[in-house]
Amino acid sequence: MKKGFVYTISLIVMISVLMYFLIYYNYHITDNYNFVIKSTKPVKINYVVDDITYSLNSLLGTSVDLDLNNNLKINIKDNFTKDYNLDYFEYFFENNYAEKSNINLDLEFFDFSNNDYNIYFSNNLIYNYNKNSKFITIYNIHNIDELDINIYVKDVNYIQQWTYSSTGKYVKINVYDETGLINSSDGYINNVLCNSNTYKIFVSTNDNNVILDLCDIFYIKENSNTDVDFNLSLIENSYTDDIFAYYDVNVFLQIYDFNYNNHLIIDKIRH
Amino acid sequence: MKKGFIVLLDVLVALLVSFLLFAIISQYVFNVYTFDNYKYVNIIGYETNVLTVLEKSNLFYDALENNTTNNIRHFLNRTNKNVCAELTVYDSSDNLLFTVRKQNCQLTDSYNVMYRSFIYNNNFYLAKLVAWYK
Repeated sequence: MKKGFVYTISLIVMISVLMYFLIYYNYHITDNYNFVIKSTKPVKINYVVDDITYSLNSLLGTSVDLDLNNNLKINIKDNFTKDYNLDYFEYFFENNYAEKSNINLDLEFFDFSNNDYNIYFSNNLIYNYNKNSKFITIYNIHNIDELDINIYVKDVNYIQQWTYSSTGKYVKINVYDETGLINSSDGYINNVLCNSNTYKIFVSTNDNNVILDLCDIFYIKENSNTDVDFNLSLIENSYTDDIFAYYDVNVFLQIYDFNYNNHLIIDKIRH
Repeated sequence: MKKGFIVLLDVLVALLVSFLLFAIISQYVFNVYTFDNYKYVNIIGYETNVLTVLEKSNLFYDALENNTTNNIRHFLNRTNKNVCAELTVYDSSDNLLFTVRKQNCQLTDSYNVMYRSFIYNNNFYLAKLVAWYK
C-alpha cells in the first residue's frame, strides 16, 4: 500500500514535470509568434501612412523633404497649377484602398480644401497655399537664416530685383525659364515692412508678374497666369531638436486590433 | 518480485501514455506555429519595399505613360531570387490594366497580398502585389 502510494506520487511528479515543459514550451512558442506577428503592424502602419502621404503629395504636386545635420534644411517643391479633388481622394482611400488592404481607415481634413491647405512644421513654420488668391506664404520664419530659391517662370520678359543689404537673412535666387537659367543673385535681405522691397519677374505674354517678398513672412504672389514652379530651401543654422512636417489631416487607421490616430506625417527626422 | 514487476510495468505504461500525450499536443502546437508563419513577415517586408520602390521610382508612371511594362518586369526579375511575385494594376473602377509576373514562377496556394495606391494624371490606381516563396 505504501509502495503503491510512492509510485503514484512518482508518476504524478513525472507527469507534472512533462506537463510543465509542455506548457512552458507552448507559452514560449506562442509568445515568440505573437511578437513576430505584432512586429508587422508598425511596418504596415508606416507603409499605409507613407502611401497616403505620397499620393496626397502627388495629387497636390507638392513635396517636402527635411534634411538635418548641424543645420536644418527644409526643402519645399510646389507650383501654382493645381486642380485636385479632395472628396474623391478621401472616398478612394476610405473605400477602395481600405477594403482591398483589409484595414479600417478614416481621413479627416481640417485646414484643407480644394483651394487652400497648410503644411505645419514642428519648429512652428507654417506653409500656406491659396489657390484663389494665388498666394504661397510661409509664416514664422524668424529663425530661418538662409533661403535658397529656384523658380521657373514661363516666358520671362524682364526681372526687377530687390535691393540687398549688409544684414538680415541670406538669400540666393535663381530664375529659370524655358531656355534655362536667366538670372542669379544672392545677398542679405532685411525688409522690415512687407511690399517695400520685392523681387518681380515679369512675363512677356501679358506684362504681368510674379512677386517674391521676404519680410516677417515669405510669400510668392502669382499674377502672371503662366506656369510657375519653384523649389525652396529654408535653412536654420545650429538646429538641435527633432523636426517633422505634417498636413492637418487626421488619419485614423485600424489594422487587426491595433489603432493609429495621428496627423498625416510628411517627413520626420530625429536629432 | 511479481508485485514489483507489475508496478514497474504500470509505471512504464503510464510514462508511455504521458509521452504519447506530450507528442500529440506538441504536434498540434508545432502545426499552428510553423516556420511558414515567420516567412510571412519577410514576405510583407519584400512586398512593401517593392511597391514603394515601384511608385517612388516612377515605374508605375512610366508603364501608364509609355504603355509598356518592360521596366517593371525587369525590376521584378532582379528582386530576391527565392521570392516569386505577380503585380496587377487596376484603375479606380477596378478594371484590370496589366499584370506582370516574375519569370520562372508558378502561383501556389500559400501567398500574401499587399496593395499600393498611386496617382497618374489626377486619376487613382491600385497596384496589387502577390508574393510567395519558391
